[in-house]
Parts: sequence; C-alpha cells; structure tokens
Amino acid sequence: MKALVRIGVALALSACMAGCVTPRAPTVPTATVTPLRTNEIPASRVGETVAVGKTKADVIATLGETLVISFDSGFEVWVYRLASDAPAKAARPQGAARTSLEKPGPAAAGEFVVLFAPSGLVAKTRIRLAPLPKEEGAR
Amino acid sequence: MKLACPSNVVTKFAIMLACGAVHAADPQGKPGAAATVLPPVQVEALRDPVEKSYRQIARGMDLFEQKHSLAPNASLRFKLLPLKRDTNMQGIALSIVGDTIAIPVPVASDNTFALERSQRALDEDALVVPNRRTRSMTWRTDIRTPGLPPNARRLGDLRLECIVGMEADLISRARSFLGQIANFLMRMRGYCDQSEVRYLFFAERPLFSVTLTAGARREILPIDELYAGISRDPSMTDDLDYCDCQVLLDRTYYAPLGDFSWPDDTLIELEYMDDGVSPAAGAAPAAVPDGRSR
Repeated sequence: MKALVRIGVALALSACMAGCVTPRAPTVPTATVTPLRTNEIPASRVGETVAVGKTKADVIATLGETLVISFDSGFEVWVYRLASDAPAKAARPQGAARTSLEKPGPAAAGEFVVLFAPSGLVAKTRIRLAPLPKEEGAR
Repeated sequence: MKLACPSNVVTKFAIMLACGAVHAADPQGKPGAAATVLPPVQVEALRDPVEKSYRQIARGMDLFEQKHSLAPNASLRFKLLPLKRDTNMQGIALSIVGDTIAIPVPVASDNTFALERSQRALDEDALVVPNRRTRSMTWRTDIRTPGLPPNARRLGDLRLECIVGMEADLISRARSFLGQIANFLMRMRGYCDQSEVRYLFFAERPLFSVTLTAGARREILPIDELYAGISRDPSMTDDLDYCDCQVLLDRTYYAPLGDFSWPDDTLIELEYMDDGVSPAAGAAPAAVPDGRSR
C-alpha cells in the first residue's frame, strides 16, 4: 500500500513538472486513420473481386467502406477483416495454442489489405489468412 | 514484466521521472557542456544538439559482444534517422566529445556509422554529438548479416538490434511524461524477449507487407504490426509527436522478437509500397490468394 502511495505521489509530481516545462510543438500528422472499424467480409469474395487498377468507388461498391490509413505520401491502405469461417480457422484443432502473430481480436482473424497508389487506383492487394498453430517441437 | 523489488523500482522510477522533468526544463542540454574548452578540432557547435551518452552506447557495444551469437556474422553499426520532416540528413558530422577529446566519427552515405572504443571517452563521460539539433533525429542500431537479399532482414539480427538499442538508450522520444515512462519500462533488461515487444524497426522505404519465413513455415505479419500499430489504435495519430516514428510511420514494423518458435535464422521479407508500382498509374499485377501480392 505504501508503495502504491509513493508511486502515486511520484506520478503526480512528475506529471506536474513535466507538463509545465515540456514544449510540444504540434506537427502535421504523417498519417490519418478513418474512424470506421475494419469491415468484415467473406474470405471467398476477395480474390477475384478487387483487381489492380480499380477505383476507390469500385472497391466500396464491392466490399464496402472500411478502416483506411492515409499517408501523406498519397498512398492509402484499406483494411478488411476476413469472416471467421475462413479455412485456416476451420483447420485449427480445438484448444490449440495461438501463435504470437495471432492475437485475440481483429488481428486474430484473416485480413484483406488493399493499397491505393496516389493516383487513387488499386496498386496491390494481399490476403493474410489466420495462421495455423505452432508446429510441434518448435524452440 | 518481472519486478523483483517494488520499492527499489519506485525509487528509481521517481528519480528517473524527476530527472527527466528537470532535464526537459534545461534547453541547453547537458549542464556544464557549454563551459568545456575543446582542443582545436573542427566540431560544429549547436545550441541544443541531439546527443547520446558514449558510456551508455559503450554498454550497448559490450552487450553486442555478449550476445553476438544471435547474429554471428554481423557487425555492429548505428544509424541516424530523421525525426522531423525538415531534418537535413545529408552530410551529417558526428563526433565523440569529452572534456579534452573530440574524435570525429565517419558517417556513411546511408547515415550509418561505427563507434570506436576509447577509454578516455569513457573516463570523461563523453557524448556522441551530431551537428543537428535536439528532437531532429533518432538513433537505432544497424546489425545486418551479410549476403541477405536487399529486401530481407534476419530475425536474429533484429533481436540483437533491440537488445543493444535498448541498452544504448538510442530511442529519442519527446521529453514527455509518457515518453519517460515508456523509456524507463523499455530499458529494463529482458524487454526484447517479451511476448509483445514494442520496439520499432524502420524499413528503407514505405512498407506494404512483411512476411516471415522459416523453412516451410511462412506467415504474413498482421496489419497491426505495421505502421506502429496505428490500425489497432487509430487515436495514436494524436500522439505521433511523442513517437520517434512520426515522419517514418509508413516504414515501421514490429517483429515477433520474443516468439522463439521463430528461429534466429528466420527471414523477414519486406515488400514495399512502390515495388513494381507506377505511382501515376498504380499499375501492378493482381494479387494471388496464397497470401502474397505481386
């Protein structure tokens, strides 16, 4: 309990001191993120439906709006989450451990990522299926 | 994170925070530095340089030797990276500056450099000083096994980069309250072995995808492990001023350093946004459903 009090006092004092003297010159952000959550789509729909050269309107019409990361370079990354009926999940044995790349929440699912070039056209896409469990005998 | 002695930690924590706050209040940087009389060596003086402790970096160099088995064929270099949009990264001059010494350090065209061992620099608690202002650059270790493809890194190299980088105290965060806390927690020994390590790596160019390969095992990093995790926590765009990734966000990624199911020889393939892409037309071959883009 004493330790907690000391932590609290130290934090309050330091916050005060640091807050009073730390200069913060705001800079223009190098990236912005839309407030939208990642849209969930069926894994079966992504392969053929979004081709390189498509426009943003095309992609929205096909897959809907989703979370967008816009960089000041003009590139945009659109992130879709694959519905949980993806084959990789079906293949996982019950109770199997997750890998470090497979965290609970959205990252645990597969994802479909679309890259828009500064021209506003699809430049690349990639699919990440939810990974399989660790192999036996791993270090 | 294991804390063996809470009361000790509390004391260190309070001292660190108080020191951080006082340091932030001193725009001149290290007290006493201005009064130092240097021998006639060409050092471009700056009012508020971005400097690092030679002793601290030397501790990182020692740790590199101890942990060299993680990257047995690699040598230790350091790298300077821009922290601001307008930082001039051309022609950086770097020196080890003590009370009576000033040792020029050659900086390569890719802004990497190696530091020599100097007992005098240690004795004089020297600083490693580039001719750039504070909060204009950040630092990283640069440990590369020779012979890898240009778009690939090796996980053992990255593990060692993290261990040495944290020990050498290279990350240049803004002197904020939260930044001080983050630095304190990250500099604890063993941080780089934890299951979720938030040590940012910087690619050469903006990234689209990062793929790990070890034998037949192949996995793409989730989007949350790219761009400093901005997709997981979009509100962090408000805090970019406190991240040393603020102008290189699109080049950043986290690696699974503490997941030892990935061996040190794991290859990390970096696919860049502009690989095979004409920015004007956005033309590139279509994706294939095996997890890789073309």
